[in-house]
Amino acid sequence: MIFQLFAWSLIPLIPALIALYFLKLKRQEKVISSTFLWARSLEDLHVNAPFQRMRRSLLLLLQLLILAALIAAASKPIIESEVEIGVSRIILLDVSASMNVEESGGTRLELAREKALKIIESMQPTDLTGLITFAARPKVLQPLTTDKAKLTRAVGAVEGTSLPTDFTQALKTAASLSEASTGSEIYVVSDASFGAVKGIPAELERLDLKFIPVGEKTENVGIIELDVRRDFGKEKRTEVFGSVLNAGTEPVSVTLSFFEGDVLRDAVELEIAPGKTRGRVFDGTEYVGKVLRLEVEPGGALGVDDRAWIRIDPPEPVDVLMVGDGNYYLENVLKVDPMIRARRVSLGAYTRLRREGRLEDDPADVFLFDAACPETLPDRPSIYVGCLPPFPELTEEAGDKPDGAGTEGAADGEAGDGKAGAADDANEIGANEIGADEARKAAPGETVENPIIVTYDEGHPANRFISFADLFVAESIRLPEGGRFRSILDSSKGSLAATLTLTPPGQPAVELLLLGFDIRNSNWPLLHSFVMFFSNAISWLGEGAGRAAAHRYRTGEMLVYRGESGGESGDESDDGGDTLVVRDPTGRESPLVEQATGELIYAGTTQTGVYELRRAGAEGDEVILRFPVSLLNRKESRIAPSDTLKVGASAQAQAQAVPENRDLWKWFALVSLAVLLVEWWMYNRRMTL
Amino acid sequence: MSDTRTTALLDKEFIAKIEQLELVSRKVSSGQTRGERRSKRRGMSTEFADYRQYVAGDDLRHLDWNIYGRLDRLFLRLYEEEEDLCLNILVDRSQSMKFGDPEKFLYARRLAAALGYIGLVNLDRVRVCSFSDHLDLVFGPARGRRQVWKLLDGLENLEIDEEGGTDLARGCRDFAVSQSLTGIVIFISDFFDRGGFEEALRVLLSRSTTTEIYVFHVLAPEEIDPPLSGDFRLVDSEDAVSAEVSISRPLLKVYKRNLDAFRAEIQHYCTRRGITYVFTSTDVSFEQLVLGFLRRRGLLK
Repeated sequence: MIFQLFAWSLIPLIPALIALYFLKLKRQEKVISSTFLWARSLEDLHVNAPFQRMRRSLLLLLQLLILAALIAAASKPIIESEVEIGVSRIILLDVSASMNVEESGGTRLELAREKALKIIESMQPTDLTGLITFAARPKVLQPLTTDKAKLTRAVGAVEGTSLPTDFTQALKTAASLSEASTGSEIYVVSDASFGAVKGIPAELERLDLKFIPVGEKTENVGIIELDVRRDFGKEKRTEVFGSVLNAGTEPVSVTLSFFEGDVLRDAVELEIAPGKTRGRVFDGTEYVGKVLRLEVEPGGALGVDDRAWIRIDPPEPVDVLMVGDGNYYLENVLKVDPMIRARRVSLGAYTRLRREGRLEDDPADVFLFDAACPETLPDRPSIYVGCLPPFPELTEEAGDKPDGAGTEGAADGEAGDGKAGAADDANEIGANEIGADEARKAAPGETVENPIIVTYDEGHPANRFISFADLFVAESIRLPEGGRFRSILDSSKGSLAATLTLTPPGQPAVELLLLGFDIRNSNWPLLHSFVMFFSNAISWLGEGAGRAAAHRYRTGEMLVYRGESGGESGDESDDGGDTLVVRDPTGRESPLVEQATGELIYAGTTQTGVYELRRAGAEGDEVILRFPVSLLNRKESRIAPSDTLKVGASAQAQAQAVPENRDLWKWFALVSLAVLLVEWWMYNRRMTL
Repeated sequence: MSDTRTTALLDKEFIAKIEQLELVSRKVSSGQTRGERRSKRRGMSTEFADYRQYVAGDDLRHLDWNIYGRLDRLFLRLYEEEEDLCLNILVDRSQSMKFGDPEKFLYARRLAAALGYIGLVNLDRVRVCSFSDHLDLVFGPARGRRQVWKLLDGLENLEIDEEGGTDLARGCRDFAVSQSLTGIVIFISDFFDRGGFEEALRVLLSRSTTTEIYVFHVLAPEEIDPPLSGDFRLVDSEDAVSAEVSISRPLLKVYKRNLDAFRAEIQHYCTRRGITYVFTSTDVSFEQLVLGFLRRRGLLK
């Protein structure tokens, strides 16, 4: 049993009480005929010796008992928990988003804090204890120490976050912290809603984990996806797509509201079955450049996943790198669309850049190979005009002349400047051959002459609003069909335009658009479909390149600011004397950290909401950019706590009670109260003096 | 006799009632002078008592000549002697007697006055003494109706001894040695003496076996049933000994039990020695005590 030492300072109250007893209360004096009979009744009155008085004074004894019980209660006696002595303990405290769930006694984090404090309270004076919080990243709040006060302060300083959980990292940190001492116990105070932790090193599985569960609630609804997509079926329509998860066990009916700033723009009712997800699309076309918010209501026990934000930026021009020796028509048509920014290099320069690896840093979103095809496949979306990339299909089906076809195409391209005027003849020839035998079709990769346009894929983004009725092609390479090739322009002599998706191992998929003919061998530059086709195709491929116009961040992600003119923000802030800060949703401002690359980063996205990048200058604050940060995490939205902590393939930590010390002061206080009542009763019964 | 002065102790109506009463002594004792009480001695009254043979020197007037004629022997006729009765009254005037409502001392003086009055009216020799820690003669010894005013005056002027405590033994010893106690002794006190009462009564008894002792134990109602409750520091009026008490019902029970035991102790002591013990409270009507109780007990008739 442990007593608080300060209570011993109350012990002098005992002699003080005895002294008070001797002083006694002032009694009313009354002269009577004789105390003879009273004295007979009260023999102790004749005894002047104080200790003989005490001997008979039951009330004094009771008062002493009360005082002793009160002193004992004030000393906060505790029965120590059955914890091993001399071990070191590490408390892993979960501060992830799911710990924000409001339970009956407070949030899960508050309950976890209380349990952590109880663990600390049960410490022996020689025990080493450390405190680590974990969410997306672990944080050592207090290294191993024997100082309870430090630990208590550290627990008091624990703040909740809206971060996802990475328990593996937490275990690694705990393991490294406990290396210094042997026999460490790791108390995991968490709701364990992150589920089983798999794929961890074997040494982490051997850790002595003691799981202290927190939380009971399971019902929650949260937004787990928010994104923007361009609807190619309708011109310039921007759609905001939100997805809501019902993580509970009961079907729910929720309202998903769509806000621009604080103005409600749209709302829908959603019926969601338990464990299911339902999505909804909102029209965000009018809100380009704005921060939009989705809100689900009612959102269940967890609040941080009830709102999600996104910023839609105006689309940036697609950067096109033209590879070839120059094409008047193509270069001019690319200048027509303001959303296309085109440059041109020769095939030799491209090959050199590629070989030297400098092409990877090129900002080009789309390559346009104009009758000049490199020998290697591109690493980003590309358009091949009048030549083909080196595909196995072409090699197998076209014999041993794949390069020859390309070379011929290129040669044709070079020599085709004066052939545009032959369109009428081609049309005539093509008309004559409409009924020709299919068997006369050339093999893929072979050159065909005067193909007649038969049909085209109206549903493909590149063909939007286009009619190929007036297109005449003098000569084209027949493109492969079927398999991974999707023909979007068919002629009487095979496919003239096709798309395919390259999926290089370990790299993102790349869309390719192949045009079998050199445009200079057709009347296309004279048709309006020429402009439309390239605008559509580059827009489609540029979007696929990942230059998303939407910005939304998840908690824990770094906010990166490259400056208004490409990584020069650091210089700007230095030169102008202005300070760039990030103001988080709680209003707290933090400076950005400048990287060696010149980028400014901010890594404190622990809460959901809109973070503002501000410039604090002499002319006042100015909001430069807004970063919407949301949880958008399916695991965190699933708040159902677990009874066991599954780590790795075999290790399981069952839930157990907090090793808390049992307070006895209440019992002592009760005893003193009971004795006080007895004394009062006896006093009123006048059992004695 | 002054009527105005007697009214303080005995009013006219009461005096009229006790006028006819006389003290009864169950024991035949020897008085000092001739009186109206039958004496052990053979004397001069007309009441025949006995015969005895004549011896030389006897008064020839008392020879019974008729007997001599018949028997030819000289016998002497003996007659009853009538002497007076000695009434000794001893009143406690210690400070403890001034308490009570009615006051114990007043009650004791009225009792002494009534009995003394009866004695004087019946030609008994009356002596009244008071005591605290010493003895004082208040009245007498005297006899005859004419002494009544002196008796009443003495008792009326008798005051509490403000300085003296109670010393029963010394009071009784002095009382006993000052004069023969033959006759009736009336002892009126509250018996509040830490030294005890036994020595006092023993001294009274030792002086004469023919003494008829009446002990009047007078207490105030407040002493029989104290109307106190709460925390008190009780101070003894005589010796200033204080007692701090928290008076409660159980304590009062103990007190009463002790009082009963104290009374029983005195009564037992008296009964075994032929002393008449009379306990009275001052709230008992004085008239009822004298006219009723004492007549029933045979002290008065």
